[in-house]
Amino acid sequence: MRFLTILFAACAALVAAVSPARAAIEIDITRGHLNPMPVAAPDFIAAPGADPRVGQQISALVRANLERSGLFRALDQAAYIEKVVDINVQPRFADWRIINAQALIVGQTTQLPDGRVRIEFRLWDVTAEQEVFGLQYATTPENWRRIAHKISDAIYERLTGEKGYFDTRVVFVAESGPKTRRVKRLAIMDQDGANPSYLTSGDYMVLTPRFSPTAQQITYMSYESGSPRVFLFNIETGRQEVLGQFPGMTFAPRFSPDGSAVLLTLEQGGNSDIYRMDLRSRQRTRLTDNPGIDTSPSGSPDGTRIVFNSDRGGSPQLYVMNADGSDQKRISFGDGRYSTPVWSPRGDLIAFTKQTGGRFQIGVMRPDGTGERILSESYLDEGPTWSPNGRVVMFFREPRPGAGPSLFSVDLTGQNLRPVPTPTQASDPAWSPLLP
Amino acid sequence: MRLGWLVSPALHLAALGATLIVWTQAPPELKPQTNSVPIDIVDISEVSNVSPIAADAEPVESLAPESVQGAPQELAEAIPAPSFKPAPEKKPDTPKKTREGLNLDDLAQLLDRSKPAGAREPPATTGPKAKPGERPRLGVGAGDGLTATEQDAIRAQMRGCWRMPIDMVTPEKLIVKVRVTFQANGAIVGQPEVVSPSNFRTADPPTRAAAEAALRAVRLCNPLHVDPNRRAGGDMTLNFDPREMIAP
Repeated sequence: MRFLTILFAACAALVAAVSPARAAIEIDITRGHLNPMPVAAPDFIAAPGADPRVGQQISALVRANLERSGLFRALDQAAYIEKVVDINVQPRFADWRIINAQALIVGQTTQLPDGRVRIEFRLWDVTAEQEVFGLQYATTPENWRRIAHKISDAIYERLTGEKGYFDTRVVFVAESGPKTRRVKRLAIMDQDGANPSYLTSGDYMVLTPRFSPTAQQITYMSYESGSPRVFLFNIETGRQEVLGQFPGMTFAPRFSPDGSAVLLTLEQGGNSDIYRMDLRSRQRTRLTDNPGIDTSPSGSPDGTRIVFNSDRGGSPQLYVMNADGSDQKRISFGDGRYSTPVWSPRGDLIAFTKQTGGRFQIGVMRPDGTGERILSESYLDEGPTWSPNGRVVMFFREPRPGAGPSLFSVDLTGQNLRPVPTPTQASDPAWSPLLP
Repeated sequence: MRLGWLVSPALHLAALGATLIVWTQAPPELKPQTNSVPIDIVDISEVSNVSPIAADAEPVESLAPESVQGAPQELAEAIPAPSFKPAPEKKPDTPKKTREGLNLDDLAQLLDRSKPAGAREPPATTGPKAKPGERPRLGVGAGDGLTATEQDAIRAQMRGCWRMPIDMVTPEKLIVKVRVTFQANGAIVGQPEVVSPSNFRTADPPTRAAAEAALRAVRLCNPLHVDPNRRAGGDMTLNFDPREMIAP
């Protein structure tokens, strides 16, 4: 019996050895492209009784959002062959393949008896000829922008595998008036520049606003009390307060990644060091103790490390330390002066401002200082802030002396630089987390 | 007895002496040196698994993508919406021309000049073609594998179809293996199957998106660029591996 088993195994091995190698072919595909995915999104259909403008506005904003991300290309509606008249009917995929659409977004608005509008959409994978997913919302018609942003985020996340960033806001410093009597006010708007409004009056100068990563709260520096002080501002209630009573000037505030504390710089007797202020206990902890200027702290998303800017080596460079201030290491070694480091919410990169050759650049590097890449450059590019998904960096630019600052965004490839519209000249943007 | 004492050493000595005898070897006969033999270097792929070259090779028309598309899969029910009605019958008239001659491949060529021919193009004549005067010859092997030339052509084709996930946080973990069955003309049979990660539909969003991007690439590159004179189709696994393209 044992002999037979061995004989059978030997025969099987022999047969396997001489059989043609069907299904054994493996091809390594190691190179692809980074081109945006072509997407078709016809105007949402208006059910009988619904205002057709709502659907048109929503689909237009979804197309604009996806296009601006740099990861998608919204196909021209004039190229569409099929006219979608019912979102519950399977599309004619061949018609969409002809125009090279890889994804198709169809939607419909329906007027509800209570005055609200029901907005529903479906995402189709044209290449697989199957529905990916669909969602619906019910809201008041004037809330169509939020819904369009939420639809954009849902589609973005499903197709890229990363959270979106469209349903977010940006707080910035709105600037107006001549250089000698410059008015700087805190302002807030949607990430695409819509719905701008002012948060402060302009009676005193404000600088470096930073969004809480977990709440609708801002910290910023203000001259309201005469000397620079760090303030907290609750956007929902409008409540404003000075953060702690420090003996010297406080500036460069930024929330810790969990929103429970603020990292800031305290200047005392000509020396600037980094402190951590717990927002509940209001206890402060000194993190650096160096005769140089240590400033611009930014925490890693896991809360274990902090990147900051210091001139202890002779020129402003970037350093990383543990959250308790230990193990301080320099990470920037390129030519030029590095400042305003900001740790990406993804944790993989640090954005910074770099000054070299009389020009300013916005760049990114890994937390260990490797892989430095410059994303933008001009006469003055400064103050990067990350989108909550860590894909896009917003900053302010002054393209030439006296031109005045304005906001721009650029994605991680550096190929997708776009202006962000603001009602006035603008600087110091700070991106909010996704709205609840 | 005494004689034995004498004979034994004598025989031992004789045996020992015999081992010292060496037959003289004739010197090896030296052959006159000749020039090196001319050889042809032949692509091994042609020997291992080829289709015969046809004397009158004609370009094979690419199959329309819809001819190999499978039936739509189960629909995700995110909306409690009414079931789908059958799609309206497609009009037989030819599709109207898109405005501005919309062609993504052309655009991609502009964006990425290294992009090779991708989808929506006739299969490349990747295999050996019959040249004028060349005689047909029999192929060797089953003809269901892929020559190295064909594999190179498919790699080049996929460059235009696969959107690499190298801008994700951990692209080195987003390696996807897709198995496809193809016909002799390169048309993919049935649906491509993700063999790794096998549970991608329930995996984390980046893994699922990477797997779907690989599936999309295979579908966009249908039909595959194989030798138009292939005798048989076959199976293969495509390993979508972005690690080489990750910036150091």
